[in-house]
Amino acid sequence: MSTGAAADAQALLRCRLSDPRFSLSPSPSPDSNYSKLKFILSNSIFESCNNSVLLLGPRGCGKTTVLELVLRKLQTDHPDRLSVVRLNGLLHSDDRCALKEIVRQLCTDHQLIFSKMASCDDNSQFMLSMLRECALAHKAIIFVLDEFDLFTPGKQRLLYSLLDAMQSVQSQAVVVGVSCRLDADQLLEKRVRSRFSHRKLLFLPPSMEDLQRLLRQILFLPTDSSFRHSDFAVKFNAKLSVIFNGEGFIDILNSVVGVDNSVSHLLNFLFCAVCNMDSGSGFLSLGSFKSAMLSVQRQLKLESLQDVSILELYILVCMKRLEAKDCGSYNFNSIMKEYKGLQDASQTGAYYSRQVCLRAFEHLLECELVGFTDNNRGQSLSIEFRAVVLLISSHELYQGLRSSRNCPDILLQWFDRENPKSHAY
Amino acid sequence: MAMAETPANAKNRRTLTSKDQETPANAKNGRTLASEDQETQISPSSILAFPSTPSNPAPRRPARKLAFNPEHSAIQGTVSYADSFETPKPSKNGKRTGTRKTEAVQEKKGLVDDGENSKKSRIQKNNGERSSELLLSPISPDISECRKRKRLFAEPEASAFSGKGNGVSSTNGGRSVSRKGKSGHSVEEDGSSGKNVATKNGKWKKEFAKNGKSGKVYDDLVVLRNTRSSQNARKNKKNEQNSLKFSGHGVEKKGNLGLKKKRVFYKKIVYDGAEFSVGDDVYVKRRENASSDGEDPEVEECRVCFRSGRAVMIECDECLGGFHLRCLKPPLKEVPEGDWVCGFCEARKNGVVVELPKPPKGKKISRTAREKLLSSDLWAARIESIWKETDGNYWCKARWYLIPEETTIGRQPHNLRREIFRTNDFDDIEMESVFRHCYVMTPKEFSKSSNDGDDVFLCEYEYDVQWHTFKRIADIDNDEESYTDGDTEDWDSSKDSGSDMEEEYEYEQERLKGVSAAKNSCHMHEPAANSRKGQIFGLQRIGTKKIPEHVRFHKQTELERAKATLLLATLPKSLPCRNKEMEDIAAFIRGAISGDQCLGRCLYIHGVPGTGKTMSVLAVMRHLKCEVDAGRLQPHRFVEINSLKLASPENIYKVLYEALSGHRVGWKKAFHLLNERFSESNRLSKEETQPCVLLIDELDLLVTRNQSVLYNVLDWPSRAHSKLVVIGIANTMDLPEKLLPRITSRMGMQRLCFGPYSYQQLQEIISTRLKGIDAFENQAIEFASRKVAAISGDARRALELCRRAAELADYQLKQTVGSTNSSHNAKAGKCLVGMAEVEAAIHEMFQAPHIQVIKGCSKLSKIMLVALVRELYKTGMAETTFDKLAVSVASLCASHGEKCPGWDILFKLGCKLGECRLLLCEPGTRHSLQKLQLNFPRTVQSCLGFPSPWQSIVPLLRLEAVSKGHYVICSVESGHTIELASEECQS
Repeated sequence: MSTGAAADAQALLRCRLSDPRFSLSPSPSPDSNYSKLKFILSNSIFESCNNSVLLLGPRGCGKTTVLELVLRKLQTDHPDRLSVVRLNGLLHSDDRCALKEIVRQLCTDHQLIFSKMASCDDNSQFMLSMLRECALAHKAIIFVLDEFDLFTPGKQRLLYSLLDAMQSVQSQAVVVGVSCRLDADQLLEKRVRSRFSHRKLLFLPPSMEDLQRLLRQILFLPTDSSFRHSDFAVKFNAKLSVIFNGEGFIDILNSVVGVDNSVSHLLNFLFCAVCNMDSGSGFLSLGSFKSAMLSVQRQLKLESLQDVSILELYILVCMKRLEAKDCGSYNFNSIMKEYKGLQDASQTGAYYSRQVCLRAFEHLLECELVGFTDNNRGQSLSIEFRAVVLLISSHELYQGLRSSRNCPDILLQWFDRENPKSHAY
Repeated sequence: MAMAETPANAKNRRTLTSKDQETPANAKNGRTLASEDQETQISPSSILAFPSTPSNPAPRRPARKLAFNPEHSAIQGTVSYADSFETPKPSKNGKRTGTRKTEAVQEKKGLVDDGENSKKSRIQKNNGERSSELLLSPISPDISECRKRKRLFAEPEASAFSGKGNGVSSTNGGRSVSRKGKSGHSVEEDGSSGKNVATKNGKWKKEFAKNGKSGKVYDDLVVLRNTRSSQNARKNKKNEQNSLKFSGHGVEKKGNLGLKKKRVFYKKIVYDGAEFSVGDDVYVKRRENASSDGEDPEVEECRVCFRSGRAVMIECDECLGGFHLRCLKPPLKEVPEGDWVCGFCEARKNGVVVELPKPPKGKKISRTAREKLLSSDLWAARIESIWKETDGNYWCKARWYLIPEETTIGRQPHNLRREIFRTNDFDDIEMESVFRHCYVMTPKEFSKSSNDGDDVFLCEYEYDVQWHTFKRIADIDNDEESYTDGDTEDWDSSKDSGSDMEEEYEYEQERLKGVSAAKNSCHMHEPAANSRKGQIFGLQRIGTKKIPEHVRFHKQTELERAKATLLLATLPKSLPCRNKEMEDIAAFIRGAISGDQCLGRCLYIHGVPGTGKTMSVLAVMRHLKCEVDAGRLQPHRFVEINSLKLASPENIYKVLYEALSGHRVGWKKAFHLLNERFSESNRLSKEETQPCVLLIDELDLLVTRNQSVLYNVLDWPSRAHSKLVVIGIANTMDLPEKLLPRITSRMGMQRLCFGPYSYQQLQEIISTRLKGIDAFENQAIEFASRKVAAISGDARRALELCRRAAELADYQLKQTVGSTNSSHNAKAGKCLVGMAEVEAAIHEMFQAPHIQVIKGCSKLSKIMLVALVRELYKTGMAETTFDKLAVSVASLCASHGEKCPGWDILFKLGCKLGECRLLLCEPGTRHSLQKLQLNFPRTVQSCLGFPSPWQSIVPLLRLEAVSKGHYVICSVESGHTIELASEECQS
């Protein structure tokens, strides 16, 4: 029976971790961003005032989550009083495209027929009349602009017309901009800035206590009747509390949170842990947390260095030597010269032809361990003549060499000779 | 939107005034009813003045039992239909029946033209019909006018400015044509209304007298009118002919009497002794020959004593019953203010079963018309047009009103007793079935109409019978509409008379049927909602299913009123602090317009954003429009264009041409036509045109590579006879200097500067808006003004700041109310917005968020930032590569016993910080070569609060710098505006 319980528990936890609602505390305090945002939006519905708000904060701190929660709550509480138009700066940064999208969404919301052929003028006229009609019908329109900072390059025509529409009596709308750039409102042109009502809600990563609380809230199984195997749940929770209080876990948590204390990072970590749950016993152990930490903190460059062939390692070391010699820019031909020089000096006999080396070189380019420095201006030149540069630092290279399975010792010697101090760290 | 007064939720008590002879004292509390029965002397003026406002209520008619001699002359009035049929009204359950007329009507009338059902033929018939009987002096065929309006756009100047001093200024010539025509007509009409009507009436009443009908009342009237009519009959004919010519339509078909049977349209007729004109609201009979039709009591009876009398009566707001003041228990001395509910309704609300007093035996309870309407025994409708059929019967197109019980959602608790809804349901009914006038008012008028009689109703919402949705009836502000509307077609279609809307409505009918049936097949000819044509159809669908309750119930608190007035969207009643500038603008425009030769001129207005430039110009134009209406100024046209809303600078030609002439053409053609229009050669051939004032907002966006657009637009005013005055608004003071010299000379002559506001001015602006609302402490307003004035002097900022402070205060208030559930009366006293709230709002609006973010970021981020500062001091350069940074981080970690993370993690973290703009970094594709630099170096130093041992780092860094003897000032702060820098200094 425990397998069934384990599977159920795992499924439940996974659902929770994917559901944004759980990352929010059940009863948000009045000071929380949730309540403030809800107040601003419901003001617009009830008092028919226009507003514009910016949600700012580092990525992963819950801006979009909170916004979606507020919108969902308002839509369930007051159906038919709200109409939402969603734009994304990555998709609709062009003004015409954005306007068309706004009109399309408004049309689908109200079951009107939309024509793709309508001109920009028609669309803006339609938007204004729609705003007017909805205001007469006591409906509020909420414009959500994700990646707000991507709407700002150019003439900012869309922002200007939206914010200008907020200034007329004939509309009942809110413009909500979501951005991770903290200076998003500085990007606005002065005309647009003047029309923007400078309401900002700042979303910060939670503190350590909040994170601990969140952890417990998410991972503890419910012991009431909503979960079928209640005794399993009790055991699970007990085990989990023990782990939480242990030293090892605190270290793990600190190292995870020390890198990135945003909520999404923590949720990623927990998801990995839940996936690493022991399916036999169905309990979370310290080991699962450890492996989760390792998977979250992978060193990708190192891993790709470990996969690289010996010839490629040779090429990398040659490049390093060239850079250490401070000879300015170099290209593949210079690398070949160095390579030849090294081979002559050490007589290893592993001397490959130019063509083979070129192949290896191209592979390094693909892995982005090396790269061109000429910014595509030298497209006309062939690869052998273009200037290249190492994209990994000597420290990483050294570590890669050391951890590589089949790195010949001679390489390490060469490396050490050239860079005596670089691997001190 | 947010109306300052809450109109309907405090329904005013109808106060009674004891009036003199004009109105009988026997009215209920405030409904003063005029009844002719009781009037023995009726001054002629009161008869001949036919107002539609209830200040002089229309004379009531008794029940009609009239039969005319049909073989009398052209005036075929009401033929008595012995078998009068029911007024043709289709089912009102929201289902639309296909045909609009009931069969009975058609059979009865045997109408030849089935134009009723096919719109096209009716419209064709309507075109250009003039009266065949000049005696009846039809006013104007209003429907045909609309059609003509559209056709006559090629000659916008055809509206002869007849020097009448009407001074109708409009945005497009076509409209002015019709308006001229109409006003011309109506002026004539009004001036000779007595005579005209008298003619009709005279004839009418002659019939009366001849048939010896109940004309006893009207004998004296007949006498009066007869004398007049004979004198004026000839004059009338002349007048009509003149007025017909005057309209200048040129599409007059005279003399087709009797050749073809066509309809004749009227604006105003006198039917059955009462005048009905287009736009009147009337009762419409529902059943034929109802026994209750005959009764139409003038005054209501008291519910208690069942007697009307001369005593003062009060009306209950719930049951609309009348009670004598003295019949109440306890008897009241005077009418109390506010809402009043009678004792029976109160008791019923409390659940007590109440027995109403019974009438004495044998007394027949008669109901007033209002009661019948509210119990669905009568209908109310609005007359949209009146015409006379070919067989001489008078018909009208009616737009129905619905009582709340008849909507799908039924009567809601927050519907007022006297509330009805306008619908978009039209029908043709005979004038026969029109009962008499009632008065349907907007909420504003309703709240003022305490004394206007029993037939007063409130109509705030429009109900769509197809979609069962409600929509507020827009307050049509004529000033705003005519000035800001540059698009003729839209305006026409939205303000067209009923038949046009009906046509489109029917079209939409078919379209919708097509949609529901087979979506794919009919896509060809259905207008999409976002195309020009389709907007009218689609937007009818928008509406709410039921009127939200909070609109009615919610009384605005002081704070909410304050918030509402501080909204940028609400126009203030006056614009303080800009009087001098507005005077200058007005003087400029007056100087340019008046005078025989309108010299085109340019004015350049500049100033930082938020200083009231556009608002001042619009206010001046509104003021000038009033002057034009009063006849003190030459009529002119006003076109407003915002360059930022144009798709491209060349489109300004298109928009301008459309605004001036009403045609939509491409911009090249528009440019050509405008050139012709403004050039000299054409001027002589055309008649006088109105001067045009063109306002261009955001002028600097019209600057193209070769500056041709700007040149052209500014060149036109400089030509003789162009009559174009251009006002340009921009933000830069030296815009003319930056342009080509030829443009500078045209634009830069007259300039007006709007400087940023000082704090006193801001204070005045805010206080003026908040006048009468006691929600802010004066200190708080001053604090806010000073803060904004120090930074930018932007009025919008100041208003938004105060509004935010009010919002914060409101939020706190609502939180406490919600949480503690205590009576907030105690708190209401101290809900003033004070310094604390303004402080919090300032903090929120002006404070840069990066300080808090730096304080709250992860440990590794802080280490990275410190490492960057260290690099900064070490090398003296702001920029560093990721390579060196990582080495630095590693060394820091090693020296402090911290585990150094992998470089990949560090890289990812660096990119994330760069995304927030805490650092400035290159894209991540550069890998180790990525360059990074701090965005806020000083802030990093001051606000990193580390747990020890890291706290030692920061003073260490400073020490390092001092020992090296130099502090490096980063130039990274150049990306900030001034205000941000000030915040940084403070931090």
